[in-house]
Amino acid sequence: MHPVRGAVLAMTVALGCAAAQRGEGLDVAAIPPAMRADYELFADRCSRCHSVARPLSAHVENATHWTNYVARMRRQPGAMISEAEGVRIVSFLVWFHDEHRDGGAR
Amino acid sequence: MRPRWLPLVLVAAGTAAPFAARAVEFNFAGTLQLDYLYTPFTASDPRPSSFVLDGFTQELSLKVAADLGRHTTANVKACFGCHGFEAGMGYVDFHLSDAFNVRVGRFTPTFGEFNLRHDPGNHRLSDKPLPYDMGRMLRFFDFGRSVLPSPYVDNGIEVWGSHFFGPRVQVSYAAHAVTGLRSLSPNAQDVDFASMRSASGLVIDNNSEPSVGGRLGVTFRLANRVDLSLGSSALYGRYDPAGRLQYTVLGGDLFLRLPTTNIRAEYLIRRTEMDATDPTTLAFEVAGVPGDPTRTFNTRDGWYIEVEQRVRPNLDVLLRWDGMRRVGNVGAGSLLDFDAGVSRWTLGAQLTVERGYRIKASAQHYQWWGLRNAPSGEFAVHLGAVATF
Repeated sequence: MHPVRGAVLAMTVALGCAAAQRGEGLDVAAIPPAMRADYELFADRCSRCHSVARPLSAHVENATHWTNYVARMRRQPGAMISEAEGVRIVSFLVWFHDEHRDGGAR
Repeated sequence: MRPRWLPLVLVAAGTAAPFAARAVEFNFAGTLQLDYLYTPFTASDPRPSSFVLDGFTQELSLKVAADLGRHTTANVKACFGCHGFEAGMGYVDFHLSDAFNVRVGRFTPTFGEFNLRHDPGNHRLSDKPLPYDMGRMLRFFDFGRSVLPSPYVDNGIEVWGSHFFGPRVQVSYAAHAVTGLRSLSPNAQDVDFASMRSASGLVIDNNSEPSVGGRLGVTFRLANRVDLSLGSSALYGRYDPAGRLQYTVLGGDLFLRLPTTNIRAEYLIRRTEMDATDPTTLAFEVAGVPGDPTRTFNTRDGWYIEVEQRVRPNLDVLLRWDGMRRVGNVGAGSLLDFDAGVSRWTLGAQLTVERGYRIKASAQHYQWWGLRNAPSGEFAVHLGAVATF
């Protein structure tokens, strides 16, 4: 393919995708008000080192596993997640994965 | 007489016992990046202008983390890339407290800020900053390796931890002893990073002298969703089989995180001693290290400043200036002058198509000095897709 045509095609696809505005995170409006602050804490802290898609797509089944998972992340250098914040992040992740398992909010 | 099946039962029971004693929780994660690099040849190149340097590079990583309990975690990561299949990590962490953890096995020793997010799923451009480049930069074979190609993976032990001083300040540290950088040549003139990825490098230290290093960092929460991190890192060791040639790597890093903007900057410098026993193997007159005319040295430093701006929920735009410079003697026949370097600008974007699936695109401009066959400037374009799962 000619480079110029390839670039035009790539830009068209990119603009089309950009218009969709679907990010890695969640639509805050679809999250229950009681859980929004915990979600925003999760999105802020976890996106420091990686995309939030990682934990949102993780195959973690129970609260104990989430507790260990988040504790492992808290120990990363400069993670800046306190123990109390870790508890709130676990609370959100447990809620999200329970909802998702039932086909709820994404 | 004992039944014949008893040993089998005992082995099975012994194997299963740890799993029965506590629930072992596994987490599987992976990343796949496919990147296309396009570089038109410049007018100064003798080959036809229709020629381009292009090609796909793929990086695949598969990781399993097993939480064996509150205090123990095992991690294994297999990677497939330019060097074929490799063990990217295989280690066990013992967590005694937030302030004191021990890691043993094969891992990336803590150095700088970028290594923490070296996985292509965790950084937003297709390639790494020049001081951490591992073979993506143009004229890689002429210029030689970067300061510390990432991921730098090694065998050894590391202790690390962090501590909050109030709600707004966190100090973190890491210190390690590992096999270290290496070269298999008795008359080495630089570290041979490729040899570190050979099978023998996984189990044998070429000179039985460990490398030591670490990082000290501090993070300040300046306001809600505004953090500033500062860090300094060091590595020291000997890399030739006789343990005669030393290397020292120093680094400083800064990360300012604003609500929709990330600003990162790092500087690395590596001083590497070179064998000068036979001066005819070197291109320039030898100035030996004090007290030993059979050794000389070169320095290779590199830097990057990167600004990442969220424009829409699924679109980030990035601007990066990075570079690398090498000062010192070179092997006879090298295309490098005593002082050579590269400066590069990158403008890129990352687009999220679907959660866990992103497109990365970037345009780059290189400027060279001290590299005899290179034009003063070159362009390159990256277009890639990355999936995390």
